[in-house]
Amino acid sequence: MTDDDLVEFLRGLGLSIGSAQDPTGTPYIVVETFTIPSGSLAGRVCDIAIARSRSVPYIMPPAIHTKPALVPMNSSAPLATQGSPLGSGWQYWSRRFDRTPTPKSIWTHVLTIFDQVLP
Amino acid sequence: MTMSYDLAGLRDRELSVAITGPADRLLRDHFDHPGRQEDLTFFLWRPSYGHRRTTLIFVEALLPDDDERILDGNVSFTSEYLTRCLATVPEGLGLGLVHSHLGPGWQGMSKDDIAAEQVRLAGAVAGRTGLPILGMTWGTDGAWSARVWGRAERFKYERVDIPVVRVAAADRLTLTFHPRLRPAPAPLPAQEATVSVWGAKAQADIGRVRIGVIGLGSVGSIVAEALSRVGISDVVLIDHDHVEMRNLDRTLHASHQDASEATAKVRLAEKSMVDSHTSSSQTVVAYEGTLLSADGIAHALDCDALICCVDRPLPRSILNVIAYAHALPVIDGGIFARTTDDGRPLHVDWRIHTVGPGRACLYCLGALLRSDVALDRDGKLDDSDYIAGLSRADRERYNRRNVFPFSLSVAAHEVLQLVGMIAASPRIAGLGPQHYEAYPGRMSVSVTSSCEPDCEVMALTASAEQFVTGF
Repeated sequence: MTDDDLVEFLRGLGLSIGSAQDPTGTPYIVVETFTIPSGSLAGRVCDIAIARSRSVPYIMPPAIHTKPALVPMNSSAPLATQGSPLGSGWQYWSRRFDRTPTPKSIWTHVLTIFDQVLP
Repeated sequence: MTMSYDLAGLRDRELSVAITGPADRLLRDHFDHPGRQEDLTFFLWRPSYGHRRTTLIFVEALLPDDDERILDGNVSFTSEYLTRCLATVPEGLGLGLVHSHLGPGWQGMSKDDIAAEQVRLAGAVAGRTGLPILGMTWGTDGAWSARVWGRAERFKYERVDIPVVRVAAADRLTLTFHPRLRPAPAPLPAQEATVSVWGAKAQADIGRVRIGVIGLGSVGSIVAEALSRVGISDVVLIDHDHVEMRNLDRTLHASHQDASEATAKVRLAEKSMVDSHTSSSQTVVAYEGTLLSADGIAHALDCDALICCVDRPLPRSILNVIAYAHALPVIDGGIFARTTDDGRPLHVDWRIHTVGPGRACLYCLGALLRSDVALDRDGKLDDSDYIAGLSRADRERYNRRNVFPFSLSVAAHEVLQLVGMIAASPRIAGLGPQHYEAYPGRMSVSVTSSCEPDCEVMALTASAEQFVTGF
């Protein structure tokens, strides 16, 4: 799969997709104004950024980023979040992804990250 | 880098052919006829570009329908079959013709064989694909011979024989060498004991195969020495690092002087190989650079098999892909040592496995985590703050605790897996991935292994993907 496959999949879900870039020039795919569907964060609206990955085969980046921050920043707490290189207001969620990367498995991974936030 | 059918260009590059085990089996089945009957098929191939070698990778057989070739003991193809295949070739791929002979070993060409490739095919295929026709012949012992036809001048094509064909299968690495371009080395007194164990035939291949060693540190420095001793005479060494004082307890031949002079690890290994080799001559290409570059990858692609002696996830992931995309087997090993808080050994184990077509990749073996590759790529494994925030289990995985005896064991089994693969003998290297647990002191083996059906690495088999972008 490629970044473009992921974008196409997300658009197919009816999501609005934009882009962003951090100060080092790394480009990101941004899912805009996404409403979290379930879990303790259900109903919260955020932008979700995933760094573009140009490698072959695709390697899922080790984090997703949300704006606004959805939980208190703490890199050593169980949720392992911190400030994001994307800038003020963005939150870096360090999360491992060890499955075969497909657009569907990546989006499931993103939703699972939100589901794992306890009330 | 691109390939063309220009004769001078073909002669300037070293050439080889690579076939995966499943493709080899398919062709073998296709050629299996009762009585004395030859057969043929067209096929697609794709170029893989090394630093000095271009490898033509067999991609897919375009098997003939019954009325598309004429079987009368000999075999010939119809114009309709050729037309169909020429119309099928995708952009960037080449077209080849393989036919079977009824004898063993490297095969010469009959007048009819030459006429078919030189007269009927060379110009038509070059014109359609921009690449030379690749002709191959299968011998009854499974040996492959190969050549391309280059354009010398208008309407004139000349043969360029290919020195080596490799078949990367699940249980072996079969090499067929052109008897004149790559003759078998003469028996040597210095290898007498070695040959007495695995035989002259295996030694003849060992003496001609080109092996790449990636990482010349604790394991790699020993691997290099072992290769030299067993008679490997053609080696590519890849490492960007130099000797430091902290390497002296685990890098073979490294001295205090090397540490103070910051000797490049590849130069140290090169010198020791030149000093210790048992072959009549030895070629060592010492590439003082990183695998994480187009040039580093190209040097790896010059080889017939690779031994991975690096522990960082990103280069291991690249070698994992090379194994499949370029049908280039990679032997990999890893050491994991945990200690208690007060510095006593808690658990030590090491693994040795070979990856490539027909075998499970490093991800599917559980020997490499995709998430570790992502962290390495993003520089997180060099970020002390990030490492400090990880769980103890994760931190321990990134600790490079390694001592010389561990490295001796891993290096020995890596070389044995290489020799066993070339000799096609499980009696040398066992049946599959090996896992040693220091306590209680047990080596276990996974008899069968294969990739998950949806594995993204396996999906790249024979793709010749260069995967340089992004690194």
